[in-house]
Amino acid sequence: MKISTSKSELQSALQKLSKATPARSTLPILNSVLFVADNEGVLLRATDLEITIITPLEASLEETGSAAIPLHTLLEITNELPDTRISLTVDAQNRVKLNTDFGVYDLMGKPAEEFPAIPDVDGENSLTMDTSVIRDIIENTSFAVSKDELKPALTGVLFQFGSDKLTAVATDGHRLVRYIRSDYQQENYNGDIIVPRKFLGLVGNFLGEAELINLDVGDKHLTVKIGRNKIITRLIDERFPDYESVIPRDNEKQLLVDREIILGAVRRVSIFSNRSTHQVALRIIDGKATITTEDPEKASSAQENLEAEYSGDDLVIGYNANYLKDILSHLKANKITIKLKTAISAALFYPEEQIENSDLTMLLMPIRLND
Amino acid sequence: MKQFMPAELQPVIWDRLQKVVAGGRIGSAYLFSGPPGSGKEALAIEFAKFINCEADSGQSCGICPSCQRINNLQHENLTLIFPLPREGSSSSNDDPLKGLSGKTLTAINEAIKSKAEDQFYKIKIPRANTIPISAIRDIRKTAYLKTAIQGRRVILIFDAHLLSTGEGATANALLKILEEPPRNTSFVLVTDNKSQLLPTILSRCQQLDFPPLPEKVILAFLNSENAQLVTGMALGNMHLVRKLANLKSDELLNTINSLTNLILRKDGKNWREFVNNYSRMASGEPDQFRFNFCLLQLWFRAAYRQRVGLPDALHKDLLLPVMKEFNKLYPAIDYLAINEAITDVTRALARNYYIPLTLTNFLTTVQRRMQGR
Repeated sequence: MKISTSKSELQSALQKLSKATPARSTLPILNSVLFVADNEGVLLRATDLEITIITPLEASLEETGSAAIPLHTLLEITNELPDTRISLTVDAQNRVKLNTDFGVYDLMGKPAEEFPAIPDVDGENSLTMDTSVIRDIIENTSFAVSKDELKPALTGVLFQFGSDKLTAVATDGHRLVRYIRSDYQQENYNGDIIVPRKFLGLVGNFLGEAELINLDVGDKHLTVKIGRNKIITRLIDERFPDYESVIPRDNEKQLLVDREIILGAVRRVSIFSNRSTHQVALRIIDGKATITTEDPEKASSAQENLEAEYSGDDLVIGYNANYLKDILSHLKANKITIKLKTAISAALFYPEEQIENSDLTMLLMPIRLND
Repeated sequence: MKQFMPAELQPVIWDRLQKVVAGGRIGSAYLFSGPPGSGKEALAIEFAKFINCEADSGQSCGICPSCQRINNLQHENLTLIFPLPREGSSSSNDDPLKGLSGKTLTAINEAIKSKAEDQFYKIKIPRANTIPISAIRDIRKTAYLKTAIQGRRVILIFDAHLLSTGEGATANALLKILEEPPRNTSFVLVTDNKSQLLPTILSRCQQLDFPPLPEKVILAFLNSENAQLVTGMALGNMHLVRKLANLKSDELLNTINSLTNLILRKDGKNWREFVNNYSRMASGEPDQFRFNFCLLQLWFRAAYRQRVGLPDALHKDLLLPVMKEFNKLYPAIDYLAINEAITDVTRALARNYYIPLTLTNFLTTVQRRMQGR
């Protein structure tokens, strides 16, 4: 194989691929990037066996071939080179030679056959999605995905593709987010998939200036094409719990509050909360709302009054301050509505006014307060 | 390095595994147990290769891309788990390799490479005495993802008895997975010490007990002048064969002779020398220490067989008269207890006991047992 490219092209491609390259692995081949140069161009591929990234490299092709080349060494030398042309040659023994105006660098590659095969992406359904839709889904849901590997179904975001809407759901058992986009309509695919959080984070980084992305939904994989880059992930092979049944429908008590005010209050008050429970309480007594906390271990306490509109009976409800802050900071609205029922039932958080064609619901479970 | 076909190594077990694959009844967990060096790890790798082979020929073709990647132990469906040292600070949820030094990572990669080239190579990372819980939790992170390519995911756990060290948290983490095994995944636990595994893990595995390797395999492996002697001494243990084969017959017999002289003769100066030298060896050359005690075990086995009139490879010109004399001198000797005392010494090394004291105890125990006390 012999190709010639510019430093910036190679650097940009390798930087993208490094995101799917494991830092340490008992499969050393995964620390390599696969170069495939054929008459259609030069494609680079990297994988950590969960996610595969394929990106083209603008290069002039002198001789076709393929080889797996250690990514980090290649990226390091590319980073250190000034802007120049790089000629990359791989011989039959997989010896890689980088020729530049500054010098010649040799390193050992590996046969392309040793590199993991490209995922078998059969039975795919092709969809198109506006970048803003996927960006909103990632921003609104990924924070609520579980990190607990004992609950594999919850370690990803559930995508429910319908012909007239797209629903994305994430939960970790303590909080749940449901985000519905009713302006997303397509006829190609109806079904549910669970997409790992890591992949969504990666897609978020790749979105950039692109306006549209293509999704290929397969039985085992989801492929996202952003521009000329292709990112493939394995899907989670589990059944997502029936989330609809946990969203209460009879939360009659309603608190309308400015998001910045309540978020600021929770942030400040939680500083004085217990370091292990992070417990804060929302007290609504005689129509007046306060955020309070008490830590008997450190003999510290805090209280802040909130300006809010409330309809319902008096209520004192406890929350983990970290979860509450997460929910409040991800609701992008000036005013939010909190629907409550009792001190031990789930609360629902909504933006006061939903953005057109979207429906965002966040649910937070309370913690039982010590009397 | 001669590579054997799985059917040559363990024909009965391989036949059973082939039938399992042919019948499409591949289980979610297997336990390969048996004496050391009986080809368990080699067969486990062959099994993974067979299941994932792209050619539909009723056995692994060895040439398709999948077989080649498994030959190099670099297959996406193959996960190797083996004991790792504790280094740096990492939590049980981290990547199992996190916190390991560059030197250890290099040693791991070299060991995997050596294992790929030599089916009887034993992966031994320095100071690795346990399988960390993070290695099992790491499986969970990817086990519930849909399989990337055709084939079946195979997770090989070498030295599986080291799952149960400490409070057995690692074994319990694995148990949790085995109770609800991920789809299209097989675990193969490989161990020399089945009894150290949790009964709850044993009950969830299909157990295959390996006999020692057939003599013809060992003879085919050896081309040294001492092939017959080594084959007779090793009793189907390929790890022992490889160590014994490095020594010439005379060298081997002299080593055994001088070691037994040192231990059996009740002489304070001799014993002090033995304790000092072997304590140094235990910390500096632990493998040599284990090997020498293994030789001692072989000598006692041969002496026992001489007493009961069974042939043994060590009944050579130099050693046979000594053994005869020994059995005449100590008619009440308790060979079983001596064998256990030797095993205890090698175990003490793994458990980091104070070796000079262990060796002193060992010497007095051997003397007592020789008198039948």
